[in-house]
Order: sequence, then structure tokens, then C-alpha cells
Amino acid sequence: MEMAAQLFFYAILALTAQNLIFCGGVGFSRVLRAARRPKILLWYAGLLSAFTLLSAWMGIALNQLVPGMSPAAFYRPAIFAVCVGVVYLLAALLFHRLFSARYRRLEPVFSSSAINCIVLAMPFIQRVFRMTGWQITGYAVGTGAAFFLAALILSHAMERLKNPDMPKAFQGLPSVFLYVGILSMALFGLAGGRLF
Amino acid sequence: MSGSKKKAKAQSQLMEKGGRRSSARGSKKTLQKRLMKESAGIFLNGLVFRNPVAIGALGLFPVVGAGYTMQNAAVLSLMMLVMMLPVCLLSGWVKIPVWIRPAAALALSGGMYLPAAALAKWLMPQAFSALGIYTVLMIGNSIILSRANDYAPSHITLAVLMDSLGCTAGFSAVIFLVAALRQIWSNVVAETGGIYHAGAYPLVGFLLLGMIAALIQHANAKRAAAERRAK
Amino acid sequence: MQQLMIQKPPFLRSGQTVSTMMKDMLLTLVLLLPLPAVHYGTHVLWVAAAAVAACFVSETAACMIAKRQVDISELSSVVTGLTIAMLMPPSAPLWLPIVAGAFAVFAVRVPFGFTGNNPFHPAAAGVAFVTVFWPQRVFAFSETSAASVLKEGLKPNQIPSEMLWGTEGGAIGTTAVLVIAACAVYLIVKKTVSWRITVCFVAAAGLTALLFPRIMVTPLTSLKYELLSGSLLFCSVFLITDPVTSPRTHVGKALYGALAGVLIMLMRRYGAFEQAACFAVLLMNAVSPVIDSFVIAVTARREARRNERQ
Repeated sequence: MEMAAQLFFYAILALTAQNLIFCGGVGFSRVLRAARRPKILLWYAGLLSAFTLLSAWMGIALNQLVPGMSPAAFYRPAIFAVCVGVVYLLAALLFHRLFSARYRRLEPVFSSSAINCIVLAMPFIQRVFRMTGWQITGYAVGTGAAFFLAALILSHAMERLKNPDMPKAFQGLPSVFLYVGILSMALFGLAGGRLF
Repeated sequence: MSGSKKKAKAQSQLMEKGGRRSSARGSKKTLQKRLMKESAGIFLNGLVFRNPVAIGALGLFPVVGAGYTMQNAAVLSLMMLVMMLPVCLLSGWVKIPVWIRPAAALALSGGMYLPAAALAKWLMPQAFSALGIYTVLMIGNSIILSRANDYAPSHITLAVLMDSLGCTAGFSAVIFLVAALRQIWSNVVAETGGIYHAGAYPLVGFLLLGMIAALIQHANAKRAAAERRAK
Repeated sequence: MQQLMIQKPPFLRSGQTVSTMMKDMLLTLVLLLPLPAVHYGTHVLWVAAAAVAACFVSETAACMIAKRQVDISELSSVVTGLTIAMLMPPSAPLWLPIVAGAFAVFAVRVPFGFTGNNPFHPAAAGVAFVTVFWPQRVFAFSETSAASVLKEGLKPNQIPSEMLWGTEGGAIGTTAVLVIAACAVYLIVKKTVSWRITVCFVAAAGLTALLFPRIMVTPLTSLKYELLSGSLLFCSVFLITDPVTSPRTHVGKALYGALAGVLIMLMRRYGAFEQAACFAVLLMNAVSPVIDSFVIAVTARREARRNERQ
């Protein structure tokens, strides 16, 4: 029961006060790309959540295998990057074998859902915030949900931002940046600051 | 196809691997001149006209999350230079299947992170330590990964070199400009009785990026209009 | 030959025009000024003038840069300025509403296409901007506000009935509860604001206050304190009801209002600031198109099922 409560609490934190995307500024390029593909958004977010979760658990193992004080700690980021690459390759092979039709449809976004800053950030977050297994699991799930919500809101916003009255200099990406900046300010009311 | 369009297509194919032999027509001197011109164009695209951050929306997290002081900007720019060039060049030289490329680019990026981090730590130890996760996340920088995945395998070494240098210069230009403005903002807010380190919040980064992107887009539109009038 | 008239957004199907709506809003905002001016002095009027001037000058400058015709009859920038002024503390330095007004115009109105195209409420964004960077200035009230006491989990000294007259500590236009209520009735009758949003917002906020009180009092007392403190009621009439940023469908408006009410109460409890109305409005503005899509999708599915049965 306590573990479930921790999981839920950290999932909510990842959505709100410790939002990696808006308070940490991490993974935003992926959110933008996901927002441009509303038809496969749910799958994209689901894949990203799965890889984030795997990354969180791998991070726990890595942090235990290579403690902070050891000389090998300097090589941790590179080791983790290789591990993420291997996980992506295995996942791509499995998906291709078991769900080939679905894989063909998701191929454009499969690699970017596995290889991105959100996934790479999990071990660091687990270490810095000293999260237990359940806590980082909740955080990873919450981050996936936050990614989905951010991309969903942006995809609707991008439709609304296509209007001929907008000055030409702001059409497209500039207005999206401003939109995200104001949204980040709105979340500031909840979070009250930076994540790192 | 009109004559000028044919010429532009031939020129762009000059930089692609396995480009048409017709695009390499002419004396060696002419070819060299065209290569230099194309290279300069690729560099300028990376620096300004197709800036990877402001126009491509790539590599946002260092600019938005960490680019709030000049020291941070310097560390991240240095790491970008040390990581991007070798990763892109190696990705261009090594032939691997398309679906393996992302993993290979990530592994290369992770490998090049080590010397980049060591150099940055040696030159600017305090700034490097203060950046924390943002230095580690340079491994997953979408500028490096997307150029290594999408551009390097299909272009000649010179094009990859100029593109990497241009993107690094473009990234550095944006992060330094944003960092300078954010530092000014922090000082202004602190002096008027506001919070400290006001420029450090990601929202300031996003808002400034929006304005910079609008300026570049406006410049691009003016340039395109001038070219149309010249024709 | 038939003449084609090109109308500027927002596009309204009621008998209202943008101009009449703005005039109604302007009238009600001006009505909120006398009480605080009497209680706190003429500085309140200077704050209002500074905010309006900042918005008007910024809008004019933006129109000149964008080579657009400046339309003085369009009162939206004046309404934005006055709304910002209502959310300022009575002793605010004049540069504070000016900064808020300039941000509201240059970052929230102009880049998205001027009137009728802004995805966020400009006044809420302007006030949120200055709150983020100058919180001590924005919450510098001469008397301790009930909102700040509630934030600390304590019971305010004032009794709820004393909070109706605009004499307690708070922003310029948010404490005169009876005047705000009268403005609400006027605007709803004139169909300038949607009653669905206001009613659902207040109901949801009130229900949350009843069920989850922040302080150790009876549920009814908690309800009174929560509704009468801070800028909740002002928000329910002047911020959350903006027709440009709120949903278009009736069900969507009700859902929007209810979610906003719950959100503002959550932000009051867990948020960074004692007054969270502006931030809640901005978050709901972002969710507004999603609510519309959801309602339209559900309605379309129901229609399809009904047609199948027939």
C-alpha cells in the first residue's frame, strides 16, 4: 500500500512540481516532434514511457554497480549511453519480429522515443533526488504522462496558432516557443522554480 | 526544369555521396571553387539561416535549461565542438544499416563525451560541476544525434565537416546570446527588488528563443524577397 | 454588387459585437475603482492609468512595427490594462503594471495575431509574469491579506462578512466582493460573459473548499473564507470567462469552469504563491482547445450511435 502511494505521489510530482519538461527544460525537442504527429501520439508517448521506465531501472542497477566515489564513476554516462543503445536495438528487433505492421508504422518515431534526453536523465535524477525503486518508477510513469499531456496540448495549440493575422516573423516555430514559455510560466505557479 | 533550378540541384548534389557525375563537371579549379562556395553556404546555414536551435528546434535543453550564464554557455559550446565533429565524421565514414544508426550515434556520442567532459572540467572546473546533469545530457543532444543520423551518412566529408562546424557555431551563437540576455535580466530583476537568478528559469529561455527565432525568420524572409527581386 | 465584409476575431454568433463586449467589461472594471481609491488613496488611480497607458502605447507601437492600422475603437488593450491594474497591490510602484502591460501586449497579444487570436489571457499572463519575478512587490499589501494567512494554514482575523466591503488587504479590484458580484450579474445579463463558466468555477471551488478545508474550521466557514479571499471571485468574472481563450461549446465551458475551480484550489494549497488565479487561468487556457476537441468527439460519437440505431 505504501509502495503504491509512493508510486502515485512521485507520478504526480513528475507531472507537476518536478516536471522534467517544463521545469527542467529537458526533452522538449521530442515533445515538439510528437505534437506534429497527433495520430501516433499515444503510441509515441507509450513507447517513451516504457523506455523511460527501463532506463530508470537500468539507472538503479548502474548506480549500484558503479558507485559515485569509484574511479569508474566518470565513465558512467558513456556506459549508460551504450546500455540505452543496446536496449533500443533489442526493442527494435523484438517489435519488428512480433508486431511488424505496427513497427513499420512507428518506425519514424521508434528510435527517438528510445534515445532522448528524458531517457538519459533518469539515472541522474534517481541519484540526485535519492529515489527508491518505487519512487523512480512512479516518476518515470509520471514523466511519460507529462510528455503525453505536453504533446497533446501543443498539438492542439499548433492548430490554433495557424492563423493569417499572425505577423509573418512569428508564424510557425517562434510562436510555439512563446507559447511554451508562457505555459512554463503557468506551471511555475505550481512548481515555483527550476528542477536542477 | 529551368536552367537555374538545374544548376542549384547540381550544386546540392555535389555535396551528396554518390551524387551525379554531371554535377562534378568542369575544371579542377572550377570544381574547387564550387566546393568552397557550397561549403560556405552549408556553414552559414548552420550558423544563421537554418540555425539548428532557433529554426530546427533541436538541442533546446542546454539553451533553455542551462544557458543562463556565460560560463555555462562556454562549457556547453566547448563540449558541443569536441563531441559533434568526431561523432558526425565517424557516422559519415562508417557504413551501417539505417535502423542501427541511432544506437551507433548514441554510443559514439557517449564515447566522445568522455574527452569533452575531461577537457571542460580541466578548463572550467567550477562551471562544469555547477552544470550537473546538463553536461551528461549533451550525449543525447538532438543536434548531434540528428546530424549524425540523417545528414552525415549521405554527404561527403567536407559537407559533414562544414555542417558540424556551422551547427556548432549556430548553437554557440544562440546559447551565448541567450545567456547574455538572461544574465542582464537577472541583474535587472535583482536590482529592482525581485528574485535572484531570475534569468535561470526555463521560461525566460523559451521566451527569448521565441524572439530570436522570429528575428531570424524575419531576416530569412527579407533575404528570400531580395533574391526574388534580383531574379 | 454584394459587398463582402471581413470581420476580425473573436467571431460571435450572439447579437454582441466585440466593441459592445469591451465597453461592458470596461464599465464594470471602472466601477471597481472608486472603493479602493477611497480606501487607499489616489495612487490606485495612477496605477490604473499606468497600466492602461502601457498597454495602449505598446499596442500602438506594435501596430506601427507590424504596419497595421491602429484601431482606437477596439478597446481590448484598455480592458487588458485595467484588468492588470485590478490585480496589482494598491501601493504598487508604477513600473510594475507598466512591465505587466508591456509583456501582455508584446509577448501574448501581438505575436499571436492581436485581438481575438491570443491563446492565453493577456492580463493574466502579464500579472503572472510580474508575480514570478517580483513576488514581494505583487503581494505587498498594507494589511495582511486573508489569502496569505490561509496559505500558512491559519484562520484569518477578519470574519467573512467583513470581507465583503473591499477594506481587507488584497489587490486593488479583488476585495470589493459585493461590487464584483454586481458586475457579474450585469455581465451575465448582457451575455458578455458565459454564466456556465462562472457558475461552474465558483461551484467547483466552493465544493473543494467544503470537502477539503485548508484550516481547522467548519466546512461552511472554510467555504466563505476561500471564496471571499484572494482573487478567486474576480477571476471567475473577469479572467476565466474571456471568450477568446475559453472553450466554444456549452458543455466545454461548464467542464472548463469546473476544472479551473478545482485547479485554483489545488494551486492555493500546493502552489508557490498565495494567489494563484492568474496561473490557473493560463493553465486552463492551454487545456481549453483539448476540452473542445474532447466534447466535440464525444458528441459526434453519440450522434453516430443515434443515427445507427435509427
